[in-house]
Amino acid sequence: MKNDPKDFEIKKQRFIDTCRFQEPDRIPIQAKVANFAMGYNCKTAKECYENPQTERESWAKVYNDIYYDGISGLGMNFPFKAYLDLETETYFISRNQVTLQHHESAHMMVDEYDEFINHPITYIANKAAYRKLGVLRKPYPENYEILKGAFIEMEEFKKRSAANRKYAEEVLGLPIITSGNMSHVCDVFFDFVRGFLPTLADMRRYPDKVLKAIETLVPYYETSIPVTDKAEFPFIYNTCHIPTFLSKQLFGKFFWPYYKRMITQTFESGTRLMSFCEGKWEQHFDYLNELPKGALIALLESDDIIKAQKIIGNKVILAGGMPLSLIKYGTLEECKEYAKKIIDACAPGGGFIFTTDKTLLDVNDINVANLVELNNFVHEYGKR
Amino acid sequence: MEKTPLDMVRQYVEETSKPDATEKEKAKRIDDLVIAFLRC
Repeated sequence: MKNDPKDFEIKKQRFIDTCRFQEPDRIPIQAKVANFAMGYNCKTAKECYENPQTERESWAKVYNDIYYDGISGLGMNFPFKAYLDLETETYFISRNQVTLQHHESAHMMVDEYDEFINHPITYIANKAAYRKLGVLRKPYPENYEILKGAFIEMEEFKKRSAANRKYAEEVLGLPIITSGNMSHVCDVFFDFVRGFLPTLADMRRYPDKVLKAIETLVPYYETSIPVTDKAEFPFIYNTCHIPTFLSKQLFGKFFWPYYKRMITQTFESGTRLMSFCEGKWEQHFDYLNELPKGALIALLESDDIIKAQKIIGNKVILAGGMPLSLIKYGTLEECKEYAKKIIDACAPGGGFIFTTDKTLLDVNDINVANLVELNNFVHEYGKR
Repeated sequence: MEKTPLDMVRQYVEETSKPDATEKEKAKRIDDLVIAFLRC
């Protein structure tokens, strides 16, 4: 089964139908392909970020060889070269020369809350960024010249991403399911300002300071939430990082209010938020049941999707379910049996997208032959 | 003369903004560029 450029509209409609809780003609199969594509095309990350054509060919090779109805993207999902130029301490290429990884690089000290809250832009530029970007610590004007180059490269990255979207749609016939990225301010604070362990400790020791710091970021991030008259498709993407580490109580206090606003405002504008719910979210499912039906598409990672279907499946569109580990280590028959079980439980009535639980990061993450045959099988088994 | 990161962002915005850009538009660009630092 090959991807056919003529099928673009049909494939796009599968996602729209299932997200309206209508049964599509076939269950849509979503790709979650990241750095895997470079290794699959026998290229390194360096070869790809230095040559956009090599980058495009790598992702196109995956999409030419494996059947999908929609994809999460074509190419790297952030301007890696610009970050390297800025001498980031955050990102690096792993030993396989393919997988892009990141360290935590959040340097805010516990006694700096007031400074951050009172002057966030000054603090982020002159302290947070200064501490983690080597280029900013170089003498002027050498640092300025490199900084200018990095800003220009970030703009070029946006243009290349737009061109890759056009290529995916017009040449490969594959819709990119989301356009735009929305961040939760609590995740931004957790990932990039205060850091993993300090944020979790501060939520218990200084909850008012943490809440105020999160609110400080709102004016800079709420502009990414659409207001009105947004096309239904593509959806808007969001990755949620901190919730899996929060109790139900902490989630309700620090994460849920802004998250609910992101979801409902996006839905009222005409489209939907597709959230990658990292880790396990079962402890938060009660909150998701407060949402309007069909407002959220939840890409589940470590939750049992069949259990999720029973608890939130009437409200939330579920995506995921297929374990990457089974595609890697299981037989094809085992993969098919597992897929059947998920489809039988989740697909009736719509509201389900078939995809892997985790993103493909390395060429060794899966048995490619299994995935090719599995997606062909789901394409047929998932026919209405 | 040394410049802070925020000084350099302001300089970049001054040098690359359209001649008819308003102060409000420039301030928004400065904010957006600084916020982009967080992910780097």
